[in-house]
Amino acid sequence: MKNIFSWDRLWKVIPQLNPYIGVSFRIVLSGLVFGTLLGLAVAVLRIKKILIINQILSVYISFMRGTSMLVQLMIIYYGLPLLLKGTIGVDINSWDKLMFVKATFILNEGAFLGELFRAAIESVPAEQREAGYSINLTGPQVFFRIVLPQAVKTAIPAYGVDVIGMFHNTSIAFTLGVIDLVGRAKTIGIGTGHLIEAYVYVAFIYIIVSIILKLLFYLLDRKFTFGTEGTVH
Amino acid sequence: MIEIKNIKKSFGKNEVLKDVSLKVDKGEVVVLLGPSGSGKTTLLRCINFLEKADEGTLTIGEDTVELHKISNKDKRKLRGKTGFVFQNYGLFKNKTAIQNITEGLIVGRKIPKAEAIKKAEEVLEWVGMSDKRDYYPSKLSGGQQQRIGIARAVALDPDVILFDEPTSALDPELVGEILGVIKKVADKGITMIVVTHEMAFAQDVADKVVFMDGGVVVEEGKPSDVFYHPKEERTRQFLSRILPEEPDYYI
Amino acid sequence: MEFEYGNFKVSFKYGMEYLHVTAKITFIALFFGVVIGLVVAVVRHYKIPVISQILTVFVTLYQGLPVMVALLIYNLLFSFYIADIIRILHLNVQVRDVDNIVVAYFTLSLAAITSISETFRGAFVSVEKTQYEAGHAVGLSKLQTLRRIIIPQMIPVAIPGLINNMVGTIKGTSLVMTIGVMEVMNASLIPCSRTYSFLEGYVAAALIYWTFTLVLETIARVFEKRTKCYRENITN
Repeated sequence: MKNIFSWDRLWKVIPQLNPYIGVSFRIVLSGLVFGTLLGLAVAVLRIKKILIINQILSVYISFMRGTSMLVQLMIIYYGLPLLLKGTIGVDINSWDKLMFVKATFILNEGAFLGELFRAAIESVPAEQREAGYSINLTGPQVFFRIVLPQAVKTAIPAYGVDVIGMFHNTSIAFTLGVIDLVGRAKTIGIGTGHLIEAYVYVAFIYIIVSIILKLLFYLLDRKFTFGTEGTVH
Repeated sequence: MIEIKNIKKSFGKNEVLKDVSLKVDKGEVVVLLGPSGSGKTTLLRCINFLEKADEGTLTIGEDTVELHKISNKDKRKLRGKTGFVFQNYGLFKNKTAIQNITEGLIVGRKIPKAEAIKKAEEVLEWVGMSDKRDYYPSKLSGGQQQRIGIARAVALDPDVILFDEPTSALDPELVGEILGVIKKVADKGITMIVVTHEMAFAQDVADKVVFMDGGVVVEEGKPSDVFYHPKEERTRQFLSRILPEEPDYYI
Repeated sequence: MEFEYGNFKVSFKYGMEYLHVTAKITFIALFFGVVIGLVVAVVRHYKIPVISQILTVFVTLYQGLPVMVALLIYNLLFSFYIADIIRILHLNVQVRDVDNIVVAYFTLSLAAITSISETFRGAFVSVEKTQYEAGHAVGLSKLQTLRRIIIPQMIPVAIPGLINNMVGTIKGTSLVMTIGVMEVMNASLIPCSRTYSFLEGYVAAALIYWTFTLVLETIARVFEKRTKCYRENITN
């Protein structure tokens, strides 16, 4: 059989790929920060069950859950400029392609994290809230000091899974022509005629970073035990 | 010093409180009795605004409010005069024993931190929980949690403490020790309204017993009168079910 | 550029014609996912020496690999080795006749196996230890206890997780457009290459996927509801 893989080519390809790891991280970071903010807003609005807004949000969430990110990315890439031009007259055709990727991630995360936060907030028993009111805390004090910390604890494991999933999803950015890890691997392949070494290294990076993220969230979860795990004192 | 007048409350079509009035003097211990669904817990929760009553007025000390149109400001003002002890303890799961107590002092009452901690340590000592100071609720037994729950209410120096079936979630062998702690609170002269099924406790500690059924007060009076000389048939029926004169059988 | 409803309709029709391909990939992946995933979970749950450790390492590492990257790698290997495979197996086919949809089956099945095995493994833990002991106490063998006592209790607990695995698998199928398999997504785009307007094609594909997911999910939820009582029995 032909020699498809060469270690020499692998070592050569590593420094060519490394600079592009940051692109994936930047996508994850904006998805994480703005997605979390959007998700919190979605969760609070859903809990308040305001008519119409609630219906709109559940359609939005259903769509984000029921279609793949690849489809969402393409619809946003082709549709968002049309929508913005048609409604508020803003031309975003000159946007960098990476911006569309980020926009997709934020909208997608807003839906997923919104549901995650809603479930976590609603899982805090009513009595915790009542106990807060009974010692004369205000509504916002009860939410931020009692409910939110407990909801955050509940949400951490699923949040971790979500962040790793988001990191994996960055691997579709190349379909728009964004030069991230996968995109760069493909250009190397076109240039040299050898793709597999670049792909192997990309796979390696994804696996290592995923395991590190998993470990980080595991440690974070352990930190937020409120005495439910291990022994205190 | 506490007066509830003509309180009404429905959940949907279910009228849980039908025009209930109740007066509690300073230092008095009032026990609310009655079958489940009689509205006694709802009454207690309305006093602390955990439920919004449909009608009625509430007076605590100098302040009188109309329950169905109370402002958030008045709500907090009146809540500041009450403490509440929950059936399922209601300890904040994200806070340690002492933080459960200081939370209301520091955040609610704006008492300086050092002073709040000193105060909290005193009440912890008083309920015999000093050694569990830094434990999270998940590491405490039901009895220990309820001691903290009582300490949390006492620490706020409220004018009145409301107890909502404080021992009904406990294992039978722990009920006695918690009733002992509640009796200690009564001995301090704190005004209390207690919803409970513990008849012996009511007889021993209560100044007044109020029997409720079907959303109304059926009968009220001294424990000895209500228990042994009930005027109403409904009271008699209820008592005969939970206070058998003679045991039916001997082991 | 405008959204042309007419183009959308044409795209939708093309996409629907290939829904069976997407459905086939989904069901094949889910079938292997459930069957092999269950075996993997059992091996890991009973800590069968060597195999269990190998599977643990494999599943842990493989879960770090995005389906997209796996798909690209397998497709590359496929195109590289297909001629050799045909020659070695003496298959009577031409290279150009072999459809790389087998790459899609393989990639999505493997992804489903790893994720579904994790769902099952979690469900195993929910069955109390005394259930095993009780099984042995009445004289059942290890395998009989597993088959007659443990698995029937574990399946209802696994169902909500399996539904998530199913939704994930359907979404994964759209990725295979990137290796040129003709399925809903690529089919919806066929008319677009003439009009140079792609939005209609993608919206059509999205609607087909969305409906497909919702229909399958609704059926699964009915099943989930029916088994609710078993689930509550076990977890309480």
